[in-house]
Amino acid sequence: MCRPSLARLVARDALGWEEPVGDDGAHRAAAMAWLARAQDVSGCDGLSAGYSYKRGWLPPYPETTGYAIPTFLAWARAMGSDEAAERAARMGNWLIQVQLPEGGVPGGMGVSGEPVVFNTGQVLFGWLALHQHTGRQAFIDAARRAGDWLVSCQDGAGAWTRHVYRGVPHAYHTRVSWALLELASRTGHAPYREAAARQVEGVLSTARSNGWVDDMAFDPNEAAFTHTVAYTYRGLLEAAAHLGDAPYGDLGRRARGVARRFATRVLRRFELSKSHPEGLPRYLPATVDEAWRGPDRYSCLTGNAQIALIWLRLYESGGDGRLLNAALKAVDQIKARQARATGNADVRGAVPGSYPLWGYYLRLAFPNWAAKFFADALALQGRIMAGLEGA
Amino acid sequence: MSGSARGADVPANSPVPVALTTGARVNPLAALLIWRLREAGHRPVAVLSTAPASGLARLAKARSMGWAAVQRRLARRGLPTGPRASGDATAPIDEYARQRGYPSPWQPLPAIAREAGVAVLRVGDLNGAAASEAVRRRAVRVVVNAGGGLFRRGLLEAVPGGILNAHMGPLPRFRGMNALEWSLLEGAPPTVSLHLVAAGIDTGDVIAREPIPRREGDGIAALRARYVAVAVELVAAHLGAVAAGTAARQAQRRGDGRQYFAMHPRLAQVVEARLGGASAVG
Repeated sequence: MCRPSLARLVARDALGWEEPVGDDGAHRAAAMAWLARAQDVSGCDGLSAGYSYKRGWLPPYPETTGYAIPTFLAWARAMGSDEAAERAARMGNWLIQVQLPEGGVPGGMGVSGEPVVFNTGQVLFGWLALHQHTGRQAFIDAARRAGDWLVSCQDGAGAWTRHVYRGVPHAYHTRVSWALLELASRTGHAPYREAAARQVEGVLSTARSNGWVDDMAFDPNEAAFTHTVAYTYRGLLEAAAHLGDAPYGDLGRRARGVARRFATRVLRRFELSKSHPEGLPRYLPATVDEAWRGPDRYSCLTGNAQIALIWLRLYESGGDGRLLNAALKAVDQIKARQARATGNADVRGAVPGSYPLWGYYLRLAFPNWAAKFFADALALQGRIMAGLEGA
Repeated sequence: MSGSARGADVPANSPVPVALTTGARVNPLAALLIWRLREAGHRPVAVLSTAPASGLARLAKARSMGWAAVQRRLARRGLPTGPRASGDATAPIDEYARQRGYPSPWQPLPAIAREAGVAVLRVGDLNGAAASEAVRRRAVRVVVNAGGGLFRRGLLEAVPGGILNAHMGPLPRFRGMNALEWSLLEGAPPTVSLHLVAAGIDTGDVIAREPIPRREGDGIAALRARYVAVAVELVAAHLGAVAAGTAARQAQRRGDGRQYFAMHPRLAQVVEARLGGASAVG
């Protein structure tokens, strides 16, 4: 625990100083290099869940390995890197190895867990991306097995109540629905789409006028982290693009509307959080309540990256520059917390779970999903800005 | 248009006792307003200043802004900004002052005010009791915003003719911060909107709009400088009618526009590039 790099990061956060904020490419390259290291140290081809100053490198994590695959493939395309694509393929093959006979993917870190709905849905993203990239049948076959299992364990009302984290249904299963809709588009198999539409309808039935939906937290008795809140709305937003046509009526429009209300409310909270008109916005709180308020004195950086992604996706489709503007600021904040100027290779390029580092969300740890969503946000932001700068 | 009876007891052509606000020790807008309003026959009587008066006050401001904001501001200050496309970006302000026969508006505002017989009142907060009491005691009819912070109930209720703000963007479409930059980014012509301050951000009744003239090679800084002359002339032209309650007023509806926030430097660079000017983002 007593390490110079930790002492430096703690001092940095305690004093409120920032790492130098550089260009998107440099930060993305650092994040991807660290993610590659997370694969190299895992002892398999999966991604270590991350690095912790308390526990060292963590075991491989199937769920987040799955959704990191599209991130590696995007990096491979951006850099013309066969190595990144080959890493992604190894992750996909490893996930096929750990897929359980019924089609689900083990929950939690390591590979010995029971199948879990959310985790399985996230792995679908990886297999679908690899199928598109390589054309290999094994990936779509694995995806179909997973999709069939997801449909089979959904209840009649459209919720997933079995094989779920802490035994309760979650609104953030919208990301499972999004994955099923992608699978339906690829395979033409209608039951995947129908299952997803039922779940999205169920989530929207709890929506309030300010965009809040219920059951976004890991546990009903806990506040919702921005991480799972952003999961929920990203799922709604992306699902909406698949649900615009008959027979789903206005389901897609409603899902998009709720995601947009979330995005604009949180944007306003963020932009107005300055303590001085000439200051910068404060970091978003780690958790939020149904009025989009957060009591926390720390921030969940992966949630911030995910929210920036939602702002960027909405900007792409609607052109409201305020969304892009807020995303640029939120991404700058994460850039300022990415551990780049350190001699410790275990954390160089990583993004902490919390700011400050000792915040409650993954205290003193660097989860792979924080780096993944940060890299995704940088990629999308870079593409959008290149379009604007070249216009 | 909607009218108001707030100033109906004041003839439109009588001198208006007016106060200005400032958040900086050097403030060419406030300086030019003092001279121009006097020339128009009005009576600037006070400057309400929230400018930090000491090193300690500046430290307190830095603390309030957050160290990260200060760190970035200092870092930007060290960056080369390149040659300015239209010469000195402040030239339009100097040119306006010269045309009107005024001295340099870049002198410290307290000295300019003293010279003009205008009291400078240091107030920690424009909305505090001290500011309200000061304008009441001096029978100030209208306050003109030249910086210093947001206005809330305290001062709004203390000024019978209202608070005038020359907003750097076309209202109601572009409310909030960096309205000039946002309007340029979205393809709207650079405009000054003179309006009465209300409880919301830039939501009060609009009195007049005037385009900001553009010259070849103008970047953001040059347009901001050109704004100053347009703003001063708009205030001078409409102050009497506003104080008398006879100014034509266009009410804003909430849905007519959007509130914008401080523009990220990368978007400001996009605006600069589109203008063809040099990078002057800060």
